[in-house]
Amino acid sequence: MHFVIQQSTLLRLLQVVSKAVAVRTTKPVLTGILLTAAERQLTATAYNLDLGIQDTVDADDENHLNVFAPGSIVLPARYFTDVIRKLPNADLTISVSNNYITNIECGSIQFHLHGIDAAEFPTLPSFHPISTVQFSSTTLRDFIQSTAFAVSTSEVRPLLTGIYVQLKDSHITFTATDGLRLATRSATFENLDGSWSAVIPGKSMADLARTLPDDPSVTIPMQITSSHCLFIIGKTQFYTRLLDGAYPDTSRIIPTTTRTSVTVDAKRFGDAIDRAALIARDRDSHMVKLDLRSGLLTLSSSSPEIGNVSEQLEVDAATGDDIQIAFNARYVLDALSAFASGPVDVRFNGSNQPFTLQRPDEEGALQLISPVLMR
Amino acid sequence: MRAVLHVDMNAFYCACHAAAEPSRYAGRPTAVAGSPETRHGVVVTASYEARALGVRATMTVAEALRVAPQLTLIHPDFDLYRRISRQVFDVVLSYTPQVEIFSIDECWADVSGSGQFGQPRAIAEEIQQRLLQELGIPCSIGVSANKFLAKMASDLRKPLCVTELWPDEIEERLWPLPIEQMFGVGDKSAARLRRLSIRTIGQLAHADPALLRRHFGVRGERWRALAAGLDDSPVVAHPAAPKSIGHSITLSRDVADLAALETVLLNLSDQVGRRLRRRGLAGRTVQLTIRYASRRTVTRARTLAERTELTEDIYATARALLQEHLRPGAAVRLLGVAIGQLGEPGPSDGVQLSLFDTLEASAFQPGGAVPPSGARPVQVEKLRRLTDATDRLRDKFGEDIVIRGRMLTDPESGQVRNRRIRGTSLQKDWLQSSRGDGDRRG
Repeated sequence: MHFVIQQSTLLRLLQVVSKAVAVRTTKPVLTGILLTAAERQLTATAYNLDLGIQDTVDADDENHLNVFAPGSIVLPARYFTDVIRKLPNADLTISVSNNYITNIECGSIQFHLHGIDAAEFPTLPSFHPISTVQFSSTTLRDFIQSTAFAVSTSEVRPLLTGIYVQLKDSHITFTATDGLRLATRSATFENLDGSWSAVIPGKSMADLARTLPDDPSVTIPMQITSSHCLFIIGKTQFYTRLLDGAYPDTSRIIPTTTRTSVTVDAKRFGDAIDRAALIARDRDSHMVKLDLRSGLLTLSSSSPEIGNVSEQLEVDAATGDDIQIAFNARYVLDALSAFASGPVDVRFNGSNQPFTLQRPDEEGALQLISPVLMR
Repeated sequence: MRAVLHVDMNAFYCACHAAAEPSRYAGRPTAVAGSPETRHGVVVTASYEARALGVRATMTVAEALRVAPQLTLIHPDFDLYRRISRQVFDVVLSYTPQVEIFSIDECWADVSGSGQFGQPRAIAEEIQQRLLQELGIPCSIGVSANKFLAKMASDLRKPLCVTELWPDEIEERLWPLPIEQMFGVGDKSAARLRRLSIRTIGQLAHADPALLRRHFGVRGERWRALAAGLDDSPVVAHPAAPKSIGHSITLSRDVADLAALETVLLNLSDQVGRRLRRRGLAGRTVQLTIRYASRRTVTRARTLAERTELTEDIYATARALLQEHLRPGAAVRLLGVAIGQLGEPGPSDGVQLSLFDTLEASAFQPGGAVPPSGARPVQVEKLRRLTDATDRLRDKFGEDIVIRGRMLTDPESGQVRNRRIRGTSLQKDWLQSSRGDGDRRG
């Protein structure tokens, strides 16, 4: 293998794939990045067996890519990335000699890194998709960002660390829950037949969301097999393993009735909870109380050691019974982050029942939170 | 000046058997030892007659029988020891309420305010006579102005002696003693002191405080004060709350089967829960100890979202730890379960409710997992009531009167419920029932 490439182009390539490099593993090859030089193009691959990212650059006048001899090599990700980062932005010559020793040259600078035989690198899953969904980049990002925070961080129930993606009646739904709160986002897609479901690791999805371009006109195809999922972002391919098992039936826990409903401005509601949570932050439950009495909304929190806080909030509308309920402030703040600004409907069914947050004009986004039972 | 007694039973376990069955055991060389079949085959206590033949505690049964073939071996009966121990302490308590139980066979008694019973020495002699005559238990008693000197005094002459050691006598009688005999200084520390040329208690009393501080920190300074006969620590009648409560068991054979190990965990968790509730406590951190056949020992802990006093939570957490950390196929020699971060039962804060109730399958169903975080108030309340009822039944009719069927499938680890043969001299929570602290039998 022997090629020339501009430093900044190579560094960008490595940074895109680096999220999929294995951190803790018994297989050293997984801590490396696979570089493959073919005629007029260079491909980088990282694959930790859960997540795989592959990115390719084609030769052009700006990146100065010139492949003299095709070939491939696996280089230790940490050292290789650091080396490239610290080189000046100029043309680099990379070549592999005997015993996988890789020579990186830039002017008078010369590095030799010990590589690993590319044949040892695991192959990415092959794709014969059972279904393909075309997302707009911003829609996909919105779907992920309004659900991914609610996945479980505990490995006790591995399935709950994933986002449940379901296609049914041309309707795509993302659902995430850690058992204490639930976030769901859905929309109807045209020309989409069949039905399937998959549980995609939440962490992979959060990584994906960060690489999605902020441009609604960019289309991101999402391909599904029975074991893997592939997102294609331009030249970047983003593979993730699916989680095995039957996701719990969440439909029956979403309340269909409402005893109390209140409409508030999401931003002001969030700010008030954020302030009240200051007093509760050292307690495990981050418990903030909400009191709605004769259309008057009060948020409060108290801690025997720290002090207390209380704030009255203007509401746009309130109907139904008075209610007093307590909740984990972090869960409500997470949920509100899915709505940005504007009015939000909060619907209660009593102080020991889960409550929902929803945009009045939008059926497809629902946040469900289980309260804290006051003593 | 304070007057403190240190009452130390002589060869206590052997003495208990001799008192219970004099015709079989009194005046004979006896040793209390576990059975070699269950790998508990070491001598725990040897009678003075056996000691005369060279039998020592910690010898294996085989070694003991080699030096004294006529030795009578006795299986431990902790029910007997606890019963007699309570009677012993009740006698001491009739002279002062200020009694600090140090272990099953040792206590301190502050008799500064017990003048109506006579001088300290007279009280000590009376206690000794009564224990011997009423219970058949021999003891040595140290009499001094503080706990340390009283303890050193009772160790000076054994068995069946009353020894006074007052501060003005220490130069003559305490300071010549080798450093190894100092109470509170372990073997390792004694060896380190020797390397610093401190070989006697007197040399410790006169050692350079800076040197002791450098090598042993505050401990060194405290030792120096003790060696000088200074100890103002009070006789504490009510013990401080424990930091953790745990049980462990050495299996009679190494076990690799996960299901079998889980049954052992269930038996251990059950007793941890029982002791926890008996104390009126709840805990938040469950710790699992695994000792493999190779003697490699690992401990793994998990902190729960809130404190619990329920066996079910302890077991579910211990089991999850076992499933996560047990090396597949590796044989296990010892398992232990403990619960820490103890405090009052019930969360001080609100309870985070869960969205699912059926999602958190019961810990006792196959595949059941630890609840993501507490949070099943209705079920928990039911379990609490069930636990309360079964606890009361077990207090009244015995540990085995109502237990889970699975616990019976492994009689060996079920022995953890058998308080008669299980015990340690330092486990004190069953010694105090006659004084009714936290005891629900009431």
